[in-house]
Amino acid sequence: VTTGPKAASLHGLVNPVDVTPAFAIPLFQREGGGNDLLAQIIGRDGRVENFTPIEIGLYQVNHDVEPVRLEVGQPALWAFQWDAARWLVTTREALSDELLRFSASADLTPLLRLAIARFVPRAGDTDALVRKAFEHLFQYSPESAALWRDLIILLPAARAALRSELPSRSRAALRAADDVTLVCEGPSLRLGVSRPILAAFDDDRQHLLAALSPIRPLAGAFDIDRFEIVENSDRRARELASDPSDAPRPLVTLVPLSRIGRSMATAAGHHSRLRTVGIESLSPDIASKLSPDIDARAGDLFIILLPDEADELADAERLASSLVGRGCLPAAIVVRSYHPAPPPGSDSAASERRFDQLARTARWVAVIGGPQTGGHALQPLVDGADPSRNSPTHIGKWLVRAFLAAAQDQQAGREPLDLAFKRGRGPKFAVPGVGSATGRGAVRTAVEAAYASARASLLDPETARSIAAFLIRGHTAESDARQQCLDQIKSRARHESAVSLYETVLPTLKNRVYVVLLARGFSSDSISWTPRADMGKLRDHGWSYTRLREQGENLDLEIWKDAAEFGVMDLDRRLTTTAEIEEITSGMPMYRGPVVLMFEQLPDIKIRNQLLLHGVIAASIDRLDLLDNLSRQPLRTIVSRLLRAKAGDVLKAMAVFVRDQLMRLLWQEEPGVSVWDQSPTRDETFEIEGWLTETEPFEGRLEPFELDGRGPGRVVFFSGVLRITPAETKAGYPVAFGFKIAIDDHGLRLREPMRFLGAEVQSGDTQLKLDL
Amino acid sequence: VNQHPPAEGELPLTHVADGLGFRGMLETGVLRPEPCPVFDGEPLLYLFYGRPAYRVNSQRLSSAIDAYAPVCLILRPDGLGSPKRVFPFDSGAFSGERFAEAMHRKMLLEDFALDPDLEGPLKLIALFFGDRDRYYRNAPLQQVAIPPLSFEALSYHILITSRHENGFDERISAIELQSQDSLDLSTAAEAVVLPDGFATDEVLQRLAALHITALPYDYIPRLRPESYTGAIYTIVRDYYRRRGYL
Repeated sequence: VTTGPKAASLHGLVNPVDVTPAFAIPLFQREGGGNDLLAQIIGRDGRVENFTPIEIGLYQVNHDVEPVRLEVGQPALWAFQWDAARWLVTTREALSDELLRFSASADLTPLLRLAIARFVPRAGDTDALVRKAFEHLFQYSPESAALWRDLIILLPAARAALRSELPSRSRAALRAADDVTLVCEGPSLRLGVSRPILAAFDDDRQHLLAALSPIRPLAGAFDIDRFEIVENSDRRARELASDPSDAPRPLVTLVPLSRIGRSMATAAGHHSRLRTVGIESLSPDIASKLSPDIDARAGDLFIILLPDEADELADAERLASSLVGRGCLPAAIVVRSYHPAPPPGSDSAASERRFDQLARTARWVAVIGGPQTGGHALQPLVDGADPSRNSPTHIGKWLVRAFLAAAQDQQAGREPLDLAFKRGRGPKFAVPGVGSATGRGAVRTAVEAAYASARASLLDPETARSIAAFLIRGHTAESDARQQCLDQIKSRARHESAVSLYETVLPTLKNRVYVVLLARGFSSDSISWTPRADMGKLRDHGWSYTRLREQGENLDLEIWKDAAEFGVMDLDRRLTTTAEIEEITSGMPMYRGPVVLMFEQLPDIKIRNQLLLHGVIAASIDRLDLLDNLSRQPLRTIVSRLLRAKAGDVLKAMAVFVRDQLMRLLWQEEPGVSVWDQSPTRDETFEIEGWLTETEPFEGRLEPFELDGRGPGRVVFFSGVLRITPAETKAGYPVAFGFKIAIDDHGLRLREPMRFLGAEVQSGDTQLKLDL
Repeated sequence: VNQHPPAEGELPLTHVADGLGFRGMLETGVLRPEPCPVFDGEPLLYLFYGRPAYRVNSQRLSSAIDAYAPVCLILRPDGLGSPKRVFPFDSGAFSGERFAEAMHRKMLLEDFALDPDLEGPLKLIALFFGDRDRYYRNAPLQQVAIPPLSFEALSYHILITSRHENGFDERISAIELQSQDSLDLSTAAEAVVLPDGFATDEVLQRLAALHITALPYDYIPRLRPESYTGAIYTIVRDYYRRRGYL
């Protein structure tokens, strides 16, 4: 639903229940043609959020409508059909007025009166209407009436009351609140609850009954005034109450495939020794049977070790997808052998295809070896470094040892190992590098050598999006080795890169230091890629650039110079209207910051200023001097525009920039962001962490989004709620984060921690209440 | 699957229709098979086991109108004699290649067919979900003992446990039953969940005559079609609990 058109024309109306009177659905068509019918997706603010295709089958469409043009962001249209000839399509407010007039005079069923009263909250006493509807149903079927009262009217109300009053926000309690049962008999209402609910109220049934007081007036409409609590002691309740007590799980499991995989695993250490630090190395017979026999649970980390051969790649892909299916995080280390020429009979296209499939499934795929490394023993890569071999098996061995170090580091309570597996932390393609040195300055030299080793492979580690660094040192090595190592890597990394560092001490190494890097960046074909010829001018102006190939991004280049760095979209047409600007900027990923839009010819100042308001810098290859000027403090220029523009324009223009920046904060789990899971889905626990790392920035939406004030001191204040669409779809309730932010010349910052509101806002038609 | 012991108990069968289709059923009192393009125009009646799922009606990712005002008919577990075919998922979605990413391209729909009886669904539930409650909640078991060469069973397990962004919904594991027989509503149906706008006097009277419990839900145009699916799942689950099915 995120890719529909930005505007559409009203085409007709359809009544999905096919009786009258009833609410109807406005149908739209794309502007400029297309036969698809579209329906509005309406945001909580009552505005059009998107248009989605709808198939109406054999239903009759009433085409007697004005072809009103409706844009995303405008108030939605609502429709009602009174009879065969009379339809109305208008805003919610105007329809409400009309329905009020209509329901006062017309002969309506009590159920329709109740529906109208819910649509128009000022329509009157809904409890009395509920009673009339019950009596109406009762005439036809006492059983239907009783079930309707219990299951459709009282039970959802009781659940909502219970959820809002729960003293404990534990997962078990929230899930159990959704699981309550309700039966009414005569004047009594019996609420069946499971153990976690009683426990949440400290077994105080009076307290629990008090929590239900908001539904007493509604129950009163059915002459029910006695409430009773009973404990449901069924199996499901026990399941909800029970805490899964898991045996200790390995921190990471190695799955060696074929001889190369096994030699890498055994080079790292004997499996019984590995197990003591939390690394499980599967024996070849289990690994060869692949998934069914492998003990895997959600959240487990797996590393598959394999050669770059078609059969093993296919096996690894099958295994990885099975592990993903079980909620595990698999990664793969592929040893690419050095062949001066392809071996006879090899099918390199099949291998590549399987490699791509593996890369899609696994969290990351590290590639060792290739034409540039081969089996050569390299001479010192860096002055002072140990003359280190750079053969695939040597690197593979140290990479596995590095994970061993990471496992030990995690046991010491430092960086959690799954950081190195997080999807939001970097692209799929990874290369390792190994360096070692002794004596004074060993850390610095080893880092240098590790970078040189990785560089000899297929990716320039300086451009990596995320780096997992593993420091393995002897007990007499420099005592501040950890800090030194971290400082040095961070000084080389681009500022938005994620760096995790793991350290372990092996006394036998004495004053020697090993540094192993796992750099995640973009795939090897970026090396052979050449941009269009005139992009070379970027280099003349001191900019470095590389191709941007991140999944789902429509940017072309990444450029950087000194501290400045931007994603670039290369645009081969002119922008002249606001609608064109909106269209192009709405699809730009801005979680890294302002984006440069590279035109063939620089647009005029009005268009440039409008773009700035969206967080977009207009540039052209012939006027890179303007880009140079802006790049020193890009936000300063943007803030200047924000301070001057109309409030409505600021909100409209900044929505993408703010949303993407907030999503970045969530991704990176900045200290100011408090994210915790306290919401139940329909019945299942909602694993919010996974949703965040697997969510693309454009899947968030700001609802509401408000401008709180501007300046003095060149500051713009915003607040609102960020909602995560795919998580909401899965969860069936709001997944929302309240935010208060400021944007100034230096960037976007949180004025107070972002708060997860998921459990505090209810789905339905109630407006979101902000209590920040 | 066929060798696995069935789960205990039973669940009703469901049929989700739009208002037009439902009105036709009420008028005749019969739920009839209709020609199905997926099976060469063979007249078939589609039901789901337990869950109020509705069929994917095309390869396009659009919502059908029945997603906007769905009517869910709940049929007695013994309301269907013997099914013609039973699949562990929506066969329309399979044919529309909605599961293509999880399935090997050479796998055929027929390879996934269960024995055409009402024990097949319970065996599948026991193997992949453990029990009816987990099946209804779409909470598959993460660890299932599948023999190494049972690729279809393995693919199905991957499909139903896959949590990455695949655009599937619960239909990937809603068990589908196909019948060639017409069903007499007065003997086969026990309840219907329907939009309150549809619950006119005439409809309520007809349902009462057919001995079908009416459960009208709050129908006003909601913000998005998915809202209805969630609401109906909850109502049907609560109904099953009340009746002792869950």
